[in-house]
Amino acid sequence: MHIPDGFLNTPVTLATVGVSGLTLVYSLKKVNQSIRPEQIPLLGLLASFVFMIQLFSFPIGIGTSIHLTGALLISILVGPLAGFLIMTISLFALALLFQHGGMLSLGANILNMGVVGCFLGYGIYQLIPGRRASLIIAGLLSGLVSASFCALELALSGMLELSSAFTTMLLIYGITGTIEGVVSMFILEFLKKIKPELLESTA
Amino acid sequence: MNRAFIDRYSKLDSPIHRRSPSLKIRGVFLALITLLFVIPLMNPPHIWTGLLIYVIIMVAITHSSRVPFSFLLSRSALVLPFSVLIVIVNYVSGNFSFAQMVETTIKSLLSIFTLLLLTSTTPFHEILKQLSRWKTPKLFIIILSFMYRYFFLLIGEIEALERAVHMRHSSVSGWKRIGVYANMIGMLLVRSYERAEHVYQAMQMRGFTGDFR
Repeated sequence: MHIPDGFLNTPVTLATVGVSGLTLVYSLKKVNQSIRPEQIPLLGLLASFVFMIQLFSFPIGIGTSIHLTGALLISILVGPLAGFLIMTISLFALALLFQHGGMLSLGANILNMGVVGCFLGYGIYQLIPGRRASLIIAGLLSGLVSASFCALELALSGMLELSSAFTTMLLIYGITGTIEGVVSMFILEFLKKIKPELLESTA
Repeated sequence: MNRAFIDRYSKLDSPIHRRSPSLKIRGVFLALITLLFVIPLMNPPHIWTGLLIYVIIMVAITHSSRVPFSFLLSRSALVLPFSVLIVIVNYVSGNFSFAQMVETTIKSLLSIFTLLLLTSTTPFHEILKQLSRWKTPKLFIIILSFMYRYFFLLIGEIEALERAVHMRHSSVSGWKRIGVYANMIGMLLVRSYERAEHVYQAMQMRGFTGDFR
């Protein structure tokens, strides 16, 4: 879920911008050191790809729609640091060009989808043995943590009473996260068959 | 999807379009901070005065920019499903008064309107140029500009792939569809990866040595 502008108060905005900003500075520095020039178009392409899949949302009921974030997949393809950079850039462009999420709430959205999706998702994926199971568990858990962060940010801003909406959000994001894991699994298997060199391009 | 839908009105000519991107970007951030963080600090009756003044300023800017109101309003309305859901949940659970409900909805609409006004009066590449003048790291800018260019290519690929999927798998339903769509996304990645390789080769031919830093 992209939180639009107008729902987070000043402390929450500052805190999330701080955390996301520091992570961004760190990953820009790291990626700048390790990137090979031929990977630059690929990173741009993946950013465009993430941008695209976040625009396609399926409605699941009144006023709510879900979409995949792509964070898990790109972190596996190019590594979590470059993956986070890609997520940040797509979220920035989505806010600017499609008003999908706001400008001042960008920090929160980067935290919920980028930091959690890339670092936590990738971490879990690495920790658990077995490709299929680890992808699904990584998708599910990062979906749940994303939802909790989102709910917490809204609650701290006085926009949500945790008790009333929390379980619904966890349920929705648990399902979305699992789908994310399953889709990432299918895509990775497809890529392994058709274009294995794409899987070896870690930045 | 039509190619120019993102910043469709950004190439019009008006006093607002002619203003420097730096002024407009700073203005938008100042406006958003005022709208979301300063106005709520006021006493309740003044909040409405503040919002009214904000609306008048926005209307004046829009009018002199010649960007159609209908476009800005219909795009701003895209935020309504989210806003309405949140305010109604809060109203029903007694967390919000009616006034707070209206105020929150108006603020979320106005903040989107403000951002739209920026993208409708400033071409995207101008915004990028301004960001790099402000010493945004080169890597960030270069990925962002690649992303913008690839976006239009990807739309074309998706349309072609969708047609192919529709012809071959129109009878597939339910969970199997996830597999079909995953393959489609995978194919999209492969095709565009090949394209990225070609682009890089072309860049090398023109003397790109990786020095973007």
